[in-house]
Amino acid sequence: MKKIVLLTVNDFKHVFRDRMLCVFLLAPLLLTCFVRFFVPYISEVYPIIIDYHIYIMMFGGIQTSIMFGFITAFIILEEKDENVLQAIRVLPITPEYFIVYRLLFATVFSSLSAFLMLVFSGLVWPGLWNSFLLAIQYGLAAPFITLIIATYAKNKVEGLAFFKGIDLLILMPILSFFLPGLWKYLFSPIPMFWTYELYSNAIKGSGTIFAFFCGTVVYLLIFAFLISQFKKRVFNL
Amino acid sequence: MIKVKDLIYTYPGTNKPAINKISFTIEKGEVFGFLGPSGAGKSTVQKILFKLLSGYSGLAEIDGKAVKDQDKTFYEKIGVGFELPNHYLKLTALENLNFFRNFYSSSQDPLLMLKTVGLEKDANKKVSDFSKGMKMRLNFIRSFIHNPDILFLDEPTSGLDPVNSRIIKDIILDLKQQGKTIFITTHQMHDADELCDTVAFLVDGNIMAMDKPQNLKLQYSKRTVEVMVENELTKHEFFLNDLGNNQEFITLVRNKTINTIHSKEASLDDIFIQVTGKTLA
Repeated sequence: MKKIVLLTVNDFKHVFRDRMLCVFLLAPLLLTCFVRFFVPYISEVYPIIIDYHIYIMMFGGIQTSIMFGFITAFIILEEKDENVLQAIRVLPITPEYFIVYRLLFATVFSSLSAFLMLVFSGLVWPGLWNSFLLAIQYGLAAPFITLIIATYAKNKVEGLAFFKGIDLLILMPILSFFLPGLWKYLFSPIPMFWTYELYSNAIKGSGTIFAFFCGTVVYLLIFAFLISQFKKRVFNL
Repeated sequence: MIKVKDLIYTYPGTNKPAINKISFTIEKGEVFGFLGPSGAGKSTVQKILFKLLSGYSGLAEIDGKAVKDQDKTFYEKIGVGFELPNHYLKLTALENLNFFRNFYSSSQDPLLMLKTVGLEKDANKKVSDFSKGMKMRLNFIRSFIHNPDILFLDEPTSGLDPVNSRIIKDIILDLKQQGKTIFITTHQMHDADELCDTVAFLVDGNIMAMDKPQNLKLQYSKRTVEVMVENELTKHEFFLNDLGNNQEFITLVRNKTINTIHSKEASLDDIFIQVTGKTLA
């Protein structure tokens, strides 16, 4: 536990001493304010927007979640750039411990911000239980983005480019709601598809456990692959 | 304490082995130096020994246990000083040391350690504002903040001015006095000569010679003495054997004013070139 506290304090020191990461840290708060105050205002002016509130919430939730994924990825990229990962490799902790810590860091803070967004936005309330399920699913988007950027980006500039690409990819499953019949399942290999499905079902009053289960399975399969890639490419294991 | 036998390592994607069947042993309390030019394989051997590289063949053993079988507690008893600085640049020197030392079961006072290398005034300065020499000194003290029994130091004096280089060498000698086993890689022959009990010349992944520096010097030195006298440009050279009975030498030193007199002891640099046919650039 002491080691986890150490790593967490260290990570936050990094975030607070980096302007760009500070902005990313503030982003969930800004997004929540946007959804809480601006969307209702603009919906009064243009009532047609009300039909799209759920998509705005899907968008807002995922954008909130990926910020911690991006922050964590950037901390790892910096550790790669400065060769600090080498020094970490010779500490009495296993590489797995370090990887799991980093992924948990991203997941916990991202789930928390997604949950707060769902609670405080007051826009499309899925209920408390479903908010918990949604927060977990949204939270898992963070390690997803962390692993991709930290594994494949060579430096911070590449990291930013990856971030933009992944951001587009994870928003794509929202299009599934505009496709007829079973075509929507084209997006099912993207784990966020199940998150959006969960949200939609929660609002329609349908069951949410199936979408939660499928989303978790897809995430776990992708994580298993990405973690092995991370260990191979970053830690030479 | 450290035993390496028939060690072979080839980097993925290459055909030529970076380490080609080398063997050596480092006893407890010994300072062992790997000398060789860049790319000779010095750091590769160290990385195998502290488990940053796997996929080798042969034996690599520390304290009677194969390196690949060592668990995470292994890093409690070894310390690693990398060739290039690797710190959190946004943290201060003290924050860096505190971060790393807290992973160990015991550690030394970081402020005292900073003082030993003249960085106490910079303890609260961000490492990004440090010069390369300062970062290297920080690297060095971090490697033994947990008081390990075995130290791996990769080019410990690289990038340091003579004063700081002297400080680092004195600390290494002090650690030796404390009974630590130290494995150094360097291409600074003078440092190796001063610090190491045993040196090995490594070229293209092969050990070309290995012995105590003194033995190597005796083996490869010209056993002669060179004398220069006043108002003469030519040097006089005499064999050391039976020098006391060499009439020509005796006459010279009695009758002429001696400007310089040197035994022609080979330096490690000379021996390296002689043995390997390469320089240490």
